[in-house]
Amino acid sequence: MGRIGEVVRLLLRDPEEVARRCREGEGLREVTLTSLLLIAVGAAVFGTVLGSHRGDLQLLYSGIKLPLAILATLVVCGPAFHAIAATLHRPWPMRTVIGLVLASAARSSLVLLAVAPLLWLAIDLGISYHAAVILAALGYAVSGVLALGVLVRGLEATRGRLLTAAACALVFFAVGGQTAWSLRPYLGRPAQAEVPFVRDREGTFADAVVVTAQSAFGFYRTPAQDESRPHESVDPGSVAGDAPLSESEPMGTRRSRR
Amino acid sequence: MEPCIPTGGTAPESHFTARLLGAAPSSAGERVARAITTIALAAVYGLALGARDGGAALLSHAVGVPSAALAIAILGLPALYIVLSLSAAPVTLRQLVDAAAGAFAHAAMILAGLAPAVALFVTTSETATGALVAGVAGLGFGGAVGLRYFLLQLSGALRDATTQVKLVGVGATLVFSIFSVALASRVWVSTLSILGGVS
Repeated sequence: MGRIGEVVRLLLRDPEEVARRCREGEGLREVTLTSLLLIAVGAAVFGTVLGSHRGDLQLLYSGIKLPLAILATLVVCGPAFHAIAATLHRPWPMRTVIGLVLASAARSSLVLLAVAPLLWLAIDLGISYHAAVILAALGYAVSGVLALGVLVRGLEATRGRLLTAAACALVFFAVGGQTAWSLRPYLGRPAQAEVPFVRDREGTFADAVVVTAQSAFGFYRTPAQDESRPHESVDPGSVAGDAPLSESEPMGTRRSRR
Repeated sequence: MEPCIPTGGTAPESHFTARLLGAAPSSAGERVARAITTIALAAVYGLALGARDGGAALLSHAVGVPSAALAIAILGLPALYIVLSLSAAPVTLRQLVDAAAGAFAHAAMILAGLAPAVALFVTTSETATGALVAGVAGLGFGGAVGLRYFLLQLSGALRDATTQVKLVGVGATLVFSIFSVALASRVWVSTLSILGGVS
């Protein structure tokens, strides 16, 4: 427990030291195991809070899927970070990459753990679906930004550091968004009869960000817009995998799937 | 030409990475091994692109991705060498080939690293557009890293040349860069079904 506490303290207060240990292979086992534990707990708690919007099975599904989304992001990004560091900055051994990405995700999970009570309270007080989606996405994005702090500190102050950091950040956010998108729904709607574990693929994460932002401000796609792009339409309510809303349906109105 | 990319530091380098991205190999056997490794790494990215359609698309994309580098080497490098030689640039053919091989190795390293991410996007994107954007972004990033390495190597070689030689060198390199991008695009659009090529 003492070692776990030490790693947690370093992740929160001294990410520079964590990055140094990953770079030099010092105490890597403790960092790795503690990071995995934090990811499992922190992300599961945040996911369960998200699922509380719908309740029932959504609680369990979201609590399982969010740690999966984070771990899948790490697995996909690891080779990319290794390649980017090797070609733009300074080669990292794979064990350094694994340590850094796990530590980054652990820091992100701690942030999600901190945000979870706020989100739970907002959901408990009856925040609208779209607002909950945006709040959750913001929390996820902020945790991602803070996670990158460990990764960037792993880069030594030499030529190419900024470009390497920018490239890693771009890959991290793109992959993180797409993996989270692929495993939706997380919130669910109370009126939804069934709670799927994952939905069929619909558009991409980038499409969903645009459509949800429009929906949050009351702008929905018309049937004509969807017909002109029959294979590329993204329903306003489908960001977290819920029933699509009709054009005339005001924001926040529930409708069960057929 | 000495590599202009910094190496060393507090973290130990990966042996594989150092051999692939470090100084040009001294023996012919090592050069061949490096070339094969480069092609294999680029082919991994092709496999990722082909994962959307599966089957024969896996093979066609695995062949198509590295073929752009081969086309640039065959069609572009000799022409560049001729122009540089005419301007008396202090660059030998071997140095030029080593720089190109290093550039392809850097590009292939990036492509292989991005392969899992691109596979994620092409298989989880409902629309062909989403898959296309992801695939092109990866190809563009890899190509840019390779080109950057090549330009850094050439600029190092021309550092002590006269102003006139440097001007010709910069002009020739600029044309070569544009030609490489255009040729690679042409090859990929023709051979990769995800970009609209032969399926």
